[in-house]
Amino acid sequence: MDVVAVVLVLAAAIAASWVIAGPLRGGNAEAGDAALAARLEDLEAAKEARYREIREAEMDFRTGKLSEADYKAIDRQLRQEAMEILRRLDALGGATD
Amino acid sequence: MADLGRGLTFLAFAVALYGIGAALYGGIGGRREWVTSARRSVYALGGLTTAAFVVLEIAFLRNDFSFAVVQSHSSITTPFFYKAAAAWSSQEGSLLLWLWLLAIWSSLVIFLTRHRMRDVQPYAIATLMGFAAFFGGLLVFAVSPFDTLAVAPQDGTGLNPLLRHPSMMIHPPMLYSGYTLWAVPFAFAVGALVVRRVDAEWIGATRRFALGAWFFLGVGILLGARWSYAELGWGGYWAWDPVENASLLPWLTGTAFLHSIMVQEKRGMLKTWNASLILATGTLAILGTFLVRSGILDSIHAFGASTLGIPFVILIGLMILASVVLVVSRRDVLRSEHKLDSLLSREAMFLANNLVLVGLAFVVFWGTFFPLISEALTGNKQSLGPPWYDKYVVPLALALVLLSGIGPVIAWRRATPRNARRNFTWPIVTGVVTGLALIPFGVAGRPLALAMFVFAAFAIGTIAQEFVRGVRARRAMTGEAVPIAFVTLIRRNRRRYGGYVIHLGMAVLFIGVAASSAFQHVHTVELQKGQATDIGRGYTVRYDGPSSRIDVRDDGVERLVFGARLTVIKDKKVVARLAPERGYYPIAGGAAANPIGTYFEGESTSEIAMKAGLGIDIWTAVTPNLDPTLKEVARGDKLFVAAQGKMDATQYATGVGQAVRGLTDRYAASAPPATFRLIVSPMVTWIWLGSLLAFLGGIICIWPTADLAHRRATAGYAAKVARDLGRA
Repeated sequence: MDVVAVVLVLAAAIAASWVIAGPLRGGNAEAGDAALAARLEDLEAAKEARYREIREAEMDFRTGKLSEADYKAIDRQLRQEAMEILRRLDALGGATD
Repeated sequence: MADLGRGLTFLAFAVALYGIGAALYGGIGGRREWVTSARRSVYALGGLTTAAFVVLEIAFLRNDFSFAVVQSHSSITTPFFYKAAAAWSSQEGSLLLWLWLLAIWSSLVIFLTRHRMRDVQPYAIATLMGFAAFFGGLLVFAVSPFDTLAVAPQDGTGLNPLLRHPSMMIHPPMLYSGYTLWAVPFAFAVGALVVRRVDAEWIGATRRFALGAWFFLGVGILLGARWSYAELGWGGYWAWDPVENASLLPWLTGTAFLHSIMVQEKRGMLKTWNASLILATGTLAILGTFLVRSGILDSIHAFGASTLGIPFVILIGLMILASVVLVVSRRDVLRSEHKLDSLLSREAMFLANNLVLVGLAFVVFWGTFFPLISEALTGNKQSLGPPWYDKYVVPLALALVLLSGIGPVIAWRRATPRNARRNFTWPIVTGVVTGLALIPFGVAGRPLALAMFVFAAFAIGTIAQEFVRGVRARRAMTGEAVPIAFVTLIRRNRRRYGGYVIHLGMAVLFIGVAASSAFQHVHTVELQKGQATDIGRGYTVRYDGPSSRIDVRDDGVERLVFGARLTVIKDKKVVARLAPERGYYPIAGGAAANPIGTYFEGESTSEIAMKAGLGIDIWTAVTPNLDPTLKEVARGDKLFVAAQGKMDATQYATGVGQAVRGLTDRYAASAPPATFRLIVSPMVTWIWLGSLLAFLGGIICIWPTADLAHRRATAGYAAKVARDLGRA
C-alpha cells in the first residue's frame, strides 16, 4: 500500500466532505436568500423568453411567415405577459434600475 | 499511483451515492440545505474524477507498465501524442472518461441553473448522480483502470495501429461528451415530470446542453466517418456498423427533440412528445455506450465480449420503465395548450420532420439489432447490409431535406396561398433550374440522386432567401449597411440563423453523400510495375513501382512500410502522384521464436493516398504481395534461431537488422504485382464541408447571448418592454 497515496486519498476525502457538508453546518440560514434569488432568476429567464418570442414574431412577420392579424395578436399577448413578469419582478424588488 | 487512482474512484462513487440520497431527501422533505449539499457533491464529483483521470493520464505518459491497462494499450515506442489518447482506447479508461465528462457537464449545468427551477433541481441532481453512481460502481467493482500487474514488464504491447490517427485522439471524447451531455436534458426532464412542472422552463434551462450534445455527438460521428475514409482502407465513410449506428441513434432522436421543442416553446404543443423524445434520447445514449462494451454485436469498434452487459441491461431497463411510468402518470399535465390549425403550417412541418427523424432512428435501430432478433427467432445471426439500409434511409433522407427547406419559411398556424407563393416561388425555381441544369451531365440516370440535388438546391434557396429577407427587414428597421445588418441579424437571432446555417450545411452534406454514393467508381485490380488501368471518369492510374522503408522511433523499429508509387493521368496530363502504403507493426515479445518474422507478421494498417478536391476524390490503397518475401523471412528465421547462443548479442542484433533491411530493400527492387483498390468519388469533400458548416451553425446557436437579465427601465411597464426590446 502506497502511504503517500493513502494520505492523498484521505486529504481528498476530507476536502470533499468539508465542501459537501458546508450547507448542513450553516443550517438553513441562506435558504431564504437563495429562494428569493431563485425566484428572481426564474422570472428573469421568463422575461427574456418573452422578449425573444416578441423579436421572433416580429422577424416572422417581416419575412412573411405571420399574417398581420396573427402578428398583432401574438405581439399584444406576449407584451402583456412580459409586463406581468416585470410587475412580479418589481414586487420582488428585482426590476428596478 | 494506482492506489491513489483506486482511492479517488472509490471516493467518487461514494460521493455520487451521497448526492442521490441528499438530493432526494432535500427534494422530498423541502430541506434546501440538503439540496445545496447535493449540488456541492456534484462539484466534488467533478474534482475527484478529474484527479482520477489525471492519475491515469500520468501513468500512460510515464510508461508506467505496472498499470495493466497501460501495458496492454501503450508501449515505449507509442508516440507521445497517442499515449495521451491511449487512456480511452481501453474499456476501463473509456469508462473513466465517461464518468469524468458526465461529472464535468453535470457540474456546469448545476452551477448555471443553481438559482433556477429549485423544485426540479433535486430530482435532476439525483438522476445525474444516479448515472455517476452506475459508472463509478462499474469502475470500482467490475473494471478498474487502476489494476496493477504483479511484475511490471519492460514494455507494453502498444496501441492498436488502427487507432493511430489524429481523429482517433478526439473522436471518443467528442462522442462521450455527446452521450453524457444528453444526460443533462434527460435528468431535467425527469425532474420536471416528477414535480409536474412541464412548461417550457426546463427546456429553456437545458436547451444549450441539448445543442451541445447534438454538436459533440455530431463532431464525434463526423470524425469517425473521416477516420473510416482515411484509415480503414475500404474507401467508404459509413458502413452501417452497429457501433456507428449506436452513435447515430441518439443524434437522430436528439435532432428531432431540438426541432419539436420549438413548437412547445411557441405554441405549448407536443409536450408529451418532447418529454418522450428526450427520455428516449437519453436511453439511446446509454444504449450506445452499452453496445460498444457488451460485445453482443460484432463491430470493429467494440471492446469485445465483457461482463458489463448485464449491468447495462438493468440500467436501460430501469430508464425505460421510469420513463414510461413518468410520462403515463403525468399525461394530465402534458396535454397540449393548442391544436394543430392546419397541415400547411410550421407546426405540422416540425411534426413531419420529427416523424421522419424518428422513422430514420427506427430503421437504424431495427437494422442494428436485427442480428439479435434473427438469432432469437431462427437461431441464426443474420446481419443487414448497406443495401437494406439504403432502401429505407434514402427516401427518408429525401423527405428530410425537402422538409428542411419547407420548415423555415412556412408560416406558423396556417399558410395562406399568398404566403406560400411569396415564400416558395424562388426556392422552387432554384430547385427546378438546378435539376434541369444537371440533366446534361447524366444525372437523370440516377433519379434518387437527382431528386436529392433538386431538394437540396430548394433548401439552400429557402435559406438564402431567408438571409436576404432578414437583412432587408433589418435594414428597413435600422438603416444599417448590408454587412452590418447581416452580422447583426445573426448576432441578435442566433438560434434562428444558426439553425439556417445548420440546414445549409446538412443540404451540402447530403449533396455530397448522394453524389459520392451514386457516381462512385470502385476498382480492385492487380497491377504489375509499369502497368496502367482505367478507373472511370476519364482517369487512368499507372503503377510506377514499389517502395519500402523502415520507420524507426526512439530505440526500436516502429513498423515496416511497403507501398507503391502511382501516377494518375487524365487527358494525357499528370493529375497527381500518389503513394499508398501498408505498415506492418512488430509483434511484441515475438523476437525469440521469429527474429525476422516478428517484423513482418504483426498487425498491419493501410495508409491510403488520395487527391481530394471539391469535384473529385481519387482514393487509392495498396495490398502488397509479401508471399515471396515471407518465404525468405521463414528461411531467415530458421537460420537466426539456430544461431542463437552462437553469436554475441550485438552481432546477432546487427545480423537481424541487416536481414530485415535486405528483405525490405529487395521488395522495393523486385516486388511481385500488387493489389490495388482504386476509387473515383465525386464530391466527398462536400460531406466534410457541409458538416463543418453545420457545426458552425451549431456554435452560432450555442454561443451565449449577452446577459440581458439586469437591464431595467424606469418608465411604465409597456415602455420598459419596448425599451428592453430596443436595446437587445
